[in-house]
Parts: sequence; C-alpha cells; structure tokens
Amino acid sequence: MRNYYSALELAPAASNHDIEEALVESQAADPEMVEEATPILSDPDKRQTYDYLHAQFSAYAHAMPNLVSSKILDTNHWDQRLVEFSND
Amino acid sequence: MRPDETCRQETCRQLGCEAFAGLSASQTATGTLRRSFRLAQTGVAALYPRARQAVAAEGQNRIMSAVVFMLIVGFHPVAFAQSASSLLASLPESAQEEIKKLCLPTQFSDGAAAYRACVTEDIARRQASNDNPTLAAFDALSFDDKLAIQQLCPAVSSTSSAAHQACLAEQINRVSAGESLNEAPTRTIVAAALPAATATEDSFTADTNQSTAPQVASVIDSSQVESVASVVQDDSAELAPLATIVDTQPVAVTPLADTNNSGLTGDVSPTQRASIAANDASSSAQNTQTNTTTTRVISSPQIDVSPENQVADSDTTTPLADSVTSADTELATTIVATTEPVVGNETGNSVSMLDQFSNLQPDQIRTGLLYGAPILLLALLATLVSVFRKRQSRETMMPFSQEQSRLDDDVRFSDQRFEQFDDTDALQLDLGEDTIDDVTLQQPSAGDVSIDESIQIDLDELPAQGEDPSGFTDISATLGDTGDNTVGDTLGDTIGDIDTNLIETGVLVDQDRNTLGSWLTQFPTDQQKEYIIEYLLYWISYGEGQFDPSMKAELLATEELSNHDQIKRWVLTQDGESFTDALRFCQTTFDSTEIEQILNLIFAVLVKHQATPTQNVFLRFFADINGIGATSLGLRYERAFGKQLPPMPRPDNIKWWHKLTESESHYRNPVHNNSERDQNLDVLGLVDPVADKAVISAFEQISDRFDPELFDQLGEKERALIDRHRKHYISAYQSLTGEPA
Repeated sequence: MRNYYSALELAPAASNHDIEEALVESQAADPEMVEEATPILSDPDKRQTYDYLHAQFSAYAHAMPNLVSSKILDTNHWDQRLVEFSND
Repeated sequence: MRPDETCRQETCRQLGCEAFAGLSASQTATGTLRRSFRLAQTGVAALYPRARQAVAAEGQNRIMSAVVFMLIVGFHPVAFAQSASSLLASLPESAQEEIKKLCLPTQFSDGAAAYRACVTEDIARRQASNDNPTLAAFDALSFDDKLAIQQLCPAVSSTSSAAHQACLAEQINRVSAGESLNEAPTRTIVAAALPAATATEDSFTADTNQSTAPQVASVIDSSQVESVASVVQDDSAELAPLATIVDTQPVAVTPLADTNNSGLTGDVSPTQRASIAANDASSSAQNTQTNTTTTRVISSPQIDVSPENQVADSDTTTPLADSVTSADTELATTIVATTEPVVGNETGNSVSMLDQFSNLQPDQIRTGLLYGAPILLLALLATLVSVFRKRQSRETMMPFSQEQSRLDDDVRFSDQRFEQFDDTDALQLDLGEDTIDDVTLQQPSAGDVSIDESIQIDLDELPAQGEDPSGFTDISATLGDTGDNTVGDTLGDTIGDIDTNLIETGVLVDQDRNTLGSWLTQFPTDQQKEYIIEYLLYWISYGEGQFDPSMKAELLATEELSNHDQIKRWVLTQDGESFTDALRFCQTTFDSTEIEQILNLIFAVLVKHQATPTQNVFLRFFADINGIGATSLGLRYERAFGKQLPPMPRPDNIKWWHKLTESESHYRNPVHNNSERDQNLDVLGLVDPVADKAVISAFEQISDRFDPELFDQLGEKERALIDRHRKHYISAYQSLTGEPA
C-alpha cells in the first residue's frame, strides 16, 4: 500500500486543508502520485478507510523487524507491502 | 544370484539348454536398459505415424481411432491386466496351471508386463492351435519340452510372427527327433543368417574394390555383437572363426540414423539393397537393421573390412533407396523376421506389444476409455490452464529482482505491483454490470461504539454496566475484568520482578517502559494469554473506529486504569511497542492449535459474514507471522463463511474502490432495518425476500463457526464470549423460523 502521508510529508491526522495544499505543492514533483492520492484523500469515506489501513500497515512495519523471523511465512510479501511505512 | 534366477538356470540345465542360458544371461545383463529405451522409442515411433496416417487417410473417424489407440496405450497396463486375467480365468484349470508354469519364469526374468504378454500370447496360441499343426504339435509336448522351447523361442513376437513360427517348428522337430536343444540357439543363429550371409559374402567378394563392409560394420551395435558373440563362443566349434572376426575387428560404431544415407557405392547387390529396404520395411527399423547386419558380419568369415577397402570417392555415391525393389523388400523382411528372435528379445517385445495394441478387444478399449479419458481430459485441462497462467504471468509480471531493484530506487506502487502481490483479482475484474462504480464504504459514525450494530458487541462498556439491551455484554466483562487492579499498582508490584518465562519465550521485556510486554510479566501464563487475546480483539475492532471517542479521551486522561482499560489504552494509542509485544507473544507462547483457535475466535466474534478491509489485512498478517500462510487461512475462511477471503484490500488505489462488488457494498452500507424480521435477517446475513430454506442454510453455516471443538484450547472466558454470540444467532434464527435451533 502506498503511504501518501509520507510522500506528502504529512501526519495521518492532517486536516483536509493541509492535504489539499500538500497535493498542490507536490503536483509538479510527483504528478502521478498526486493523481493517485487525490481521489483517496479528498473523499472522507475513502480517506477514513485508507487511514485505518494506514495505521495497520504502520504498526506492521514497526513490528516486523522484531518478530521471530523463523516463524514467519511471508505469503503476502509483507516486506514489499510495508516498504513505504518502514520509516514512519 | 536371485532364487528365481537359480530356478531358471536349474531348469535349463535339466533340459540341456546352457546355450540358451548364456544367451539369456547376456541379454539380461546388457539389454535391460536398452530394452526399456527401445520399447519406449519404438512405441513412440509407432504412435505418431499411426496417428498422422489416420488423419490423412480417413479423417475424423480415424482421429477418434487414433485417440482411442493412444488412450489404450497410455493405460494398457490396466486394460491388459484385466484382459489377461479374464482370459486366463476362462480356461480350464489345468490349462491355467500350465500357462502359469510356462510364463512364471518370464515374469521372474522380465517382469509383470512380460508375464501378462506371455499369458495373453499363450492363450492366443492355444486358441489358434486348432488350425495350426505346429502349435498343435507344441501343445502335445511335455511340459519340460514346452518350457525349453518357450525359453528358446521367447515371447518375442505374437504367434502370427513368422520368426516365432519358424522357431517353434524347428524346435518341435528337433525335440521330436530326439535331438538336444543344447545347440539350438547357435544353430538358429547360423541357420537364420545363412542365406543373408551367403549373399553378402558373394557381394563383398564381387565388389572388392568398393567394399561396403566398413559401412555395414559401422552400423553394428557393439553391445549386440558382444551379446551374440557370447553365445558363439559358448561351445560351437564351427562358429569359432566368426567369433574371432567379431572380436578382432575394430568396429566403428556410428549413429544409426546415418545408415540410411551411408553412401554405399558402386554396384549394389540384391542383398545390399535388401539391407536398405529392410530399414523401411520394419517398424523397428534401426534395431532390426542392426540385428540383421550383425548376423551377416558374424556369418561371413571372408569379409574384408580393412580400411583400404573403404570408399574414398564420394562422387560415386548413389542413393540406394531408388534401386530398392519389392523383391528386395521381401528378402529384407524375411531376413529381419528370421534374425529377429536371435539377437535380442527387446525388439520382439516391442512388436508383440504393438500387435496387442492392434488387436484390442472392445472391452479393452472400453476399459481404457473408462480409466483414461477422464484423466486425460483433466490433464489436458490442467495443462491448458497452466500454459495460460504462465503466459499471462510472463506478459504482466516483471522479474522479482528487477522489480526489487526498481523499488529500491523509486518506491511506488503500480499495477505491476498489484500483480506481484497477487492483487490482480481486486484490480482486474471486469468493469461490467456486476460492479458498482465508485462505491464508497460507509464507515460507522464517530459515536458508533459497536462493532456491528445488529450484534451489538460492545467492547467498551465497563463491566459494571452489565449486559446491554440487546443481551450482549462487552468483552471486558466476559474476560473477567475485576476493575480493582490498576496499571500503577501492577507496575509498582513488578519492578524488579521480571517474569523469566516471558524472557525465555521471546517477549521483549523492558521494565523501563510501560508496554504490554513488561506489564504482562506480573501475570501467570494463562492470564497472559487471555490478555493477549483481548488485546488482539480490541486491536481489530478499534482499528476500524469501533469505539466512542469520549471513552478514548477518558482513558487517555485517567492515570489509574483497570487491566482491561490499560489494554484498551495501548490499543487506542496504537502503541507500536505493545503491538509488537502482542504479536511476538503469539509467536512464542501460543502453540499452533491455539493460534488456529484464535483465528476461529476472530471469525466467530468479529467477522460478520465477510471480513472488512482491516480484518482482512490483519488476518493475513497474523496468519503469516504465525506460519499459517494465505492458503491455509483462505481455506479456513472459506470453511467458516462459505466464500473466499476477499483479495488484499487496496484502499490507496481508486481502482480497488471501483471494483468492489455489490455484495461488499451492501455489507459496508448497512441498512438500518426497522422491522424485527429485517434485523434478524441481517444478523444471519440475509435480505428479504428470502425462503425458509435459505434461513436454515445460513444458520447452519453460522453454527459451524461456533462448533465447540474449534475453541477447546482457549480459556473459559473466551469460550463464554463465543457462547454469548452464538446465542444471539440462535435467537435470530428462532425468531425467523419459530423453531428451536
């Protein structure tokens, strides 16, 4: 999953106004990301669902390095899914 | 030496057939692997031309015949096993015993397939003996003589084979005349090869300047020469020079495929042409040619195969195939047939098997179709699916290493990333009528503290508040929160009192931080497990906003908290360290059965009819870190809910939202039912109009999720929680049907 907040340098609790400004500022630098993030973050319902998953992925990325790796059966490619959340 | 081999040798000694024993032993030693290969080679070579010829000749009927033929070939062991046993059973008992005695040595030496072939052949021979004086005479012989002849004229071909018939006739005459069979094999070789040897000798003598000997010798299979030579060297004085020739001549073995274009030069004798024609006349051309040529060389002491006789001028080469006549073909066929049983029985076995294929009975074909057709169709289908998926995979996926390196430089998620994560189902669904454009998931309102409105599992109510109006208490009450144990107290009690069990099991215990891992150290293991399970349930439900914000504010403001409230606070603050402790505790303390039952608990208590995105992601992650994996999780989910676990949700991608199915949309947009019936139907995941049968079916599916065996390793409090939820479903069912569950 993409970490739009990280890409926009925002906190997950950022206001809608802050998000709009960040999207405008990032338009030139990364138009593709902005194009993908805009319909998600600008819609309250979609953003809420995205936020729930964002929190989950952030927690998973935090936990993963400290888990018992020998027990893990990584059938969902978590290393790749969590790569954008590893620095949160 | 194996007992069966000892038995065979003993039988031969009694019958005076040492020569046969030598030949047989040599063949067994040198030809087992080659026989297997040639059987397969000959079978494949015979199959393809037959199928192609069938297509060219008579169209679809022939195609069907070829398909049936291939099916029988593929499953001939089944068909022939039944055929041989049924045919054998149809004979008188004495005949059965005799056939078994005759063929059992074959089974010892060449295996079950040879035994079946022997039985089938002997039965056919008996059936044909009425019209064949030779076979009738054979049947009149004693068992020992039959066995000896059976061994001398091994089941190298069907009874219709000229070679078999000739061998039988000769040996029967020999036995009738009171002669020993001792010299029979070598005499057979010489007798069979004599016409060809004489003609070849004449040819070589006449064409001394353009000898074909090197070319002929070049096609000799050295192992075949050794095989025959071992017989020649046995005890026959008249063949000693031949053996000397074979042993002393350096044989340059060249690929057999070259023999058809070996470039024999100058005038070609009839025998030479016949040799070429033999290649085309026999279905096992290469082996037969080798056998024939080998016999010629052995039988021609005057052959000069010195290097100076080799042809040097390639301009004189003429294609021999053009000069082959029908007479040559007949001669070659005769030579092949005559020498066939002498050199090795592997070629004969091939012919015998193919003959059997050609003579398949309708019941055999039916048997082959019965067993073969469904399996063949399944195999074909699986192959097609595999090829299609591989092709699709090649077209859409980039190599992992390439993808990985790209991600390291520029982390972004494209459609290819979806495919790599097996999210294609979520993104590549057809945007047809079955999907709803731009579905938005209706999230609970901020004040909605229940996981599910209809079930009213309230995790946030304090135990003192008791059960809610819908009859469901919160998980805290169920798990036995006494409310008299504050975090401050527990932390104070446990300073300097680290639970060594937790250290041993891998939980990261840090007394300097207020996290779940350090807090748990004050409790016994069973209670630790209960708290961890409680933590996980809260994690999932709160992770979807299923809490009252005022409750969250109150918990964050309160210093002294009950154990359950402390757990809630760690969840509500999404403390990463505590979450890590909980997962690591699961990895190191729960056994696999307990992990599976925790999944069952989540299915029963939290997941209503279909996993939400948060539940879906958590289930996948939890299953993976505990070694269960997506496949096993998917099977468990499907067993619990009767449907597949939805693909990994991708709410970050607008395509995922576009492709939510209508059922998912319905689930995520709960209808606020007014009537009691609608509410009860919603509990069971149904919507009017619905038949009573569907209500029963839905309740049975739900009941399976609450099977007590699925939770027998969990604690009493967890089972009590499950029982409360089960009663809620029972109540809804009884209200709808008016019948006890």
